[in-house]
Amino acid sequence: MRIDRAALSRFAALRMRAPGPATAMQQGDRRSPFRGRGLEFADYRPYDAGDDLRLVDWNVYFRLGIALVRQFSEERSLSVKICLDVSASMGFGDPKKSDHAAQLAATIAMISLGHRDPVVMACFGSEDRGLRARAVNLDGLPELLHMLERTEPPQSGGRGNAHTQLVTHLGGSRCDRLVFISDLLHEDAERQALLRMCASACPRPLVLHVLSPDELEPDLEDVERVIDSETGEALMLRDGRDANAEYARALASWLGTIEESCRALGIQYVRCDTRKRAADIVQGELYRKQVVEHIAGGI
Amino acid sequence: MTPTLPFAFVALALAIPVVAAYLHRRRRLDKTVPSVILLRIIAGASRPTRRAWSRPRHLVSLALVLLALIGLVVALADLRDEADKPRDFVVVLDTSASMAATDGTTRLEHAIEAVQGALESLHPGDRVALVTTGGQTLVRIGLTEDHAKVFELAQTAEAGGTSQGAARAIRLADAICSAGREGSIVLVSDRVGVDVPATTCPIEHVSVGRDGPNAGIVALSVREADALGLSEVHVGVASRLGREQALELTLKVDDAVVDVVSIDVPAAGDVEKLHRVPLPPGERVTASISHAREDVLALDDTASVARHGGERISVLLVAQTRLSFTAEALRLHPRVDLRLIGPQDAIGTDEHFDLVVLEADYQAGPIPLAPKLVALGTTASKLGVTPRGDVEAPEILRWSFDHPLFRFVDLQGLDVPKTQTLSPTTEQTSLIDTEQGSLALAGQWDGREMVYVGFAPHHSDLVLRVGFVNFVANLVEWAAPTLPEQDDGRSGVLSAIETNVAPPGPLPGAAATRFAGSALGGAPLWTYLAIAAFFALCLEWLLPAFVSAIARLRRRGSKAVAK
Repeated sequence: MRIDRAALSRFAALRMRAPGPATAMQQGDRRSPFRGRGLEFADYRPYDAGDDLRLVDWNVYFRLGIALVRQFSEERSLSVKICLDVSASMGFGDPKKSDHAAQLAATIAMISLGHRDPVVMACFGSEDRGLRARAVNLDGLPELLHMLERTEPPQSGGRGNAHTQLVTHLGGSRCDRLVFISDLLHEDAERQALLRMCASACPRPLVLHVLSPDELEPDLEDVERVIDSETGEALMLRDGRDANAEYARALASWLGTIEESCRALGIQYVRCDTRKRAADIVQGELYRKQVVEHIAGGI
Repeated sequence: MTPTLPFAFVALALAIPVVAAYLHRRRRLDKTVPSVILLRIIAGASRPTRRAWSRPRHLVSLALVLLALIGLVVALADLRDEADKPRDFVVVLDTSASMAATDGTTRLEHAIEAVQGALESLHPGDRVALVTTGGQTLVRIGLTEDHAKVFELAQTAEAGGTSQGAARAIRLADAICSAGREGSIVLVSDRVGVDVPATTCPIEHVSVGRDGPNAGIVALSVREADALGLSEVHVGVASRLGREQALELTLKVDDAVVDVVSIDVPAAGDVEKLHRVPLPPGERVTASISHAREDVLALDDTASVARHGGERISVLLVAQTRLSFTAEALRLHPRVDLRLIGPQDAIGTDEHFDLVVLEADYQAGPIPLAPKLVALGTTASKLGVTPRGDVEAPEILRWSFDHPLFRFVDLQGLDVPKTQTLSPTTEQTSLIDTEQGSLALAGQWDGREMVYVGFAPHHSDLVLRVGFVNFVANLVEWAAPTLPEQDDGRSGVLSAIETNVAPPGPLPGAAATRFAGSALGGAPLWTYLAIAAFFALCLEWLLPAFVSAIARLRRRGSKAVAK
């Protein structure tokens, strides 16, 4: 997949907005539910043997005769997981959906790592076992980009078990922000399973639905039979002027179903047309939906 | 409708493979798509047949190609209306003097341009003849398909002469046109002075020229006023200048300026001037007028006439004495060969005179032969004149000042002590009337033209008046044999009709319909159809490529912006 690296430098003023307390193990600058060392006083607790005596509030002890230990809120980083669909269907469109998705993933990784939010990036959907890479700061960004660039969706053939691969990638640990990038061209049951998986992986997952003109406005002129790039299923197209209108209605219904499912599962849903640049989507759609925010605040 | 190449319709057979190609135009069989999930809704059960017809673009494309094919075939067949078959046109080009009127470009040049434009628009089979009318009516070229030659001859036409020959030219053109195939007469004229006779062939009229101010000499004549070299120049000027103006009239004799006089002309109308001036010897008198501002026709600003004063006449004077006033006046006249005899002098029978003047009764025999006879106070009864009686000092009430003998002869208050009065018969005309009767009369006698005056000049004070010299000069002019019209090839006096350059109302016949360039200038309908076919093919072949090229450029532009 191709990535425009020069375009990544434009997002220094953005950072990922935390949907809740950050839970990464890495120290950061985001509020977390953990108590420990920090600058912001959180609470008192009774002294236990072994506690650091420096944390005992001696004023309270001399006044009340009770040894209480001061607790501080720890600041952690936002753990971000990016799951990128690299199935064969992502290899279509002009530009390719996979390239567009990779640019989106790289942009989000850049924004996250720029503020020391650790990023785990995983690719799924191909017959391969799937690739996975992790970075905790900008030093790890080249590794993520390298992984994206050496991954290509297959020309055709099976798409593997996307659900299993996603379980592999997401299972075992939660994250603070899941970004799921796919064209969602799966059968209904499989798609629902994937979305539920995403919903369970983190409190407020984000689905970036990448669609190309091949899906939105397909050019079926002079097309008699279509073949599925992933399953090899062949369909004879019906003739007639109503076909385009019927397809448009089916597409609208399909998109509506997905959006409704995401809303029901608490998933943020953003449709990404490949004709629109990734940078514009990040600074436009994702900013309006508060997926990213400006470091100086504001809307 | 008649095709000139009927076999061209065979090319319509090309429509069969074209239609077949469209019917058998197949789609690409397969297309790999990201997923068929969304396409299942428009999936069909089996392969459709004749799918090409389901695409409107294909139908439009087929229609365009067939239209283009039909257009090209019909254009190749050169389908023509029956009315478009080759025709004959006899062009009558008016080259009269009024066609020299100019508004920057002369009417004749406009006419030639009109002829050129029309000739260029004719079909190759059309034949054209050219007849010019003006100074002469000439058939420049008979019916020919060589249109360039016709135009070449039309270019050589020069304005001059009058339009009086237009009717003859049109009749001539009608004869040419009638002898050929179906055709028409085309009159290219400014309509000034053009009389259109009834013709067999229809007449189309190509009108040229606009009205404008003009003044010109419409009359010029010169005659000798007396025997002493004085001449009378009569000039008529017609004015359509639109305002009163003083013109300068220059008189020349053989390029030598003799006199310059001023003539006041009205805004619209004619004015005549009689100028008496001694003219030096010369063959031709030229008069020209100069304007304060230019008029549209310069051709009528100059006129010239030949001087016909050189013919000598032989005069026989019968008188009682050799020293009469009449004898002396005739003897002094430069054109008179005078023979003076007495009443008893015999004359040979073979001698012939132009004029016999009787101041006394001729008694030696019959009155000598001469076409003109003037008797001055002789015995009236001998000449068929009925005397009425003698009167003394009659008062002249009227005289025929327009008679050639009394031109510029003033008889007012003439003192005639004694004269005989006359009674004119029905064949005789009284020239001088008094209360007592006629003093002079004109008529025929013995087959000759006769003027009888009841008194001899020397019996009155006429001989003491200037009028007597004029009378003698008039006598010579009257007796001079009539000369045939001479055309020395130089410009004369332009007709007053040509001077009035304002085009009159429309002439009978249609304004040019078939000959005019605009009518035949356009190509046949099928030529336009062929052009439309060409554009239809361009639209069919180039438009998809153009649209795809635009789309490619837009994609490249968006990629460049993204980078």
